[in-house]
Amino acid sequence: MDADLLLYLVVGVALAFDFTNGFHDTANVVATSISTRALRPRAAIALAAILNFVGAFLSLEVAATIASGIVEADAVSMSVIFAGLVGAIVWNLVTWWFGLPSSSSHALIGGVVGAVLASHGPSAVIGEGLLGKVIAPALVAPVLAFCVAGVAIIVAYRVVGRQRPGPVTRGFRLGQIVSGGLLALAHGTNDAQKTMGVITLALVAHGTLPAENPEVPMWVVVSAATAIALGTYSGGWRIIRTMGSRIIRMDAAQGFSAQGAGATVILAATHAGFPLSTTHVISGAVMGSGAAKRLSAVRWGVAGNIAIAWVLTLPMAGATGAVVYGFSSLFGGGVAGPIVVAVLLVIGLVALYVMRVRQDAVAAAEAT
Amino acid sequence: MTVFASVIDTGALFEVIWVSFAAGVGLTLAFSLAIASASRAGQQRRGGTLGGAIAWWLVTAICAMVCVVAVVAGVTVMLSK
Repeated sequence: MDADLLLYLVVGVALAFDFTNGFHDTANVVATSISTRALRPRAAIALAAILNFVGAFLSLEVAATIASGIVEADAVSMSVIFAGLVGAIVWNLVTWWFGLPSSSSHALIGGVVGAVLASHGPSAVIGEGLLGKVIAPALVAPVLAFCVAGVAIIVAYRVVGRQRPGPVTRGFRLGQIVSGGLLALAHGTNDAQKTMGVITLALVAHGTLPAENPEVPMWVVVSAATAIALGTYSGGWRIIRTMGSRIIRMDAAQGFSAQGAGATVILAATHAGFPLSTTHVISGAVMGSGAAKRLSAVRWGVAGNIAIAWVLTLPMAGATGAVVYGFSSLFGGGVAGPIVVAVLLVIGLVALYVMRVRQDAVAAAEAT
Repeated sequence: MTVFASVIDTGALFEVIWVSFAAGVGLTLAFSLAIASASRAGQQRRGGTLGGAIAWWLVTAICAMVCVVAVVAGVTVMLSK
């Protein structure tokens, strides 16, 4: 009975994380299209939501072991996954509050690592895996995207520089619809998989699925795809504003270059099996397309705040995951602790929603 | 640096770097050329130079085709993951 309840809680929290992942990362996909007026805000978000939903079905090659190679596999229990998910959700909400684009994947890994540290100690964390699979790619992604987008926008300006601005702007806006669509598809493929992986892991730990080659049930695929799509459609307007206009004020050519460079870097990394964060790539590409035109065009203060959020993501989500695990353990090893945490989380979410709903409505009105 | 080199798959990293540059800059170049040549084709047509307009439309079509191929390749990468 306890195991069943814990499974339901983990599935519910995993879908809640998927939802925050959707609205948190919507900005990566749609912000440039909205700020250059390639698409109306609601249309951009609806398109991103649909493509995120479709993307979730494109590949079922689930990373069934979330944080695989980063923590010891036998240290990952349902309680650890629950605490890690709560840590990731809390960090996603904090960064959304401040309008900062940060990596939801890193938040999830940080949360799980923190919970494992609290449950099994440092020996259960694989340092080399953390360095090679998380920290090194986090350094590579924004720098590479910055450089590719920078070179791309210089090339674009050289080619179209002498043409009439009207047709050029219309052309790049059209291109942005396609490049933004590719980004949304890639995001759905990558990020919905993580939630499917988490739920699959929980089902294996519960004994519902076999440990050897577990197949992802269709209800898991549909629910994960739906959660990320609904999250995307709800739109994280605060981060959209940051990505779309607070880092640089971009024209359509810059928007296309940023999205095109972002999509190609993500797809090249996917092809080579080198994991990169969508958020880091797109943020770097937006800055690169602005800096290549004029260094002072980038608001480096905003960029610095974003970089600080990236640096803090792993430790803060980890600390939250560890605290949640420790707090849950106070109620014994059963389901009582996670239930109390889930109730507190829901109360916190409702409070946040009530406090921010009016401000987001104002931001949405400004964006339109 | 030595620590990083020992834990990173440097082969995959270099592949990501060169493919990203080639595809990212190549895609933008092809799309920019498509826009510029379409614009010139329009100018030629309005100026009454039909041959020049057709030539520029041809360039536009080729560049647009390159972009379509790039998008299809991107979707294929996602499907084959």
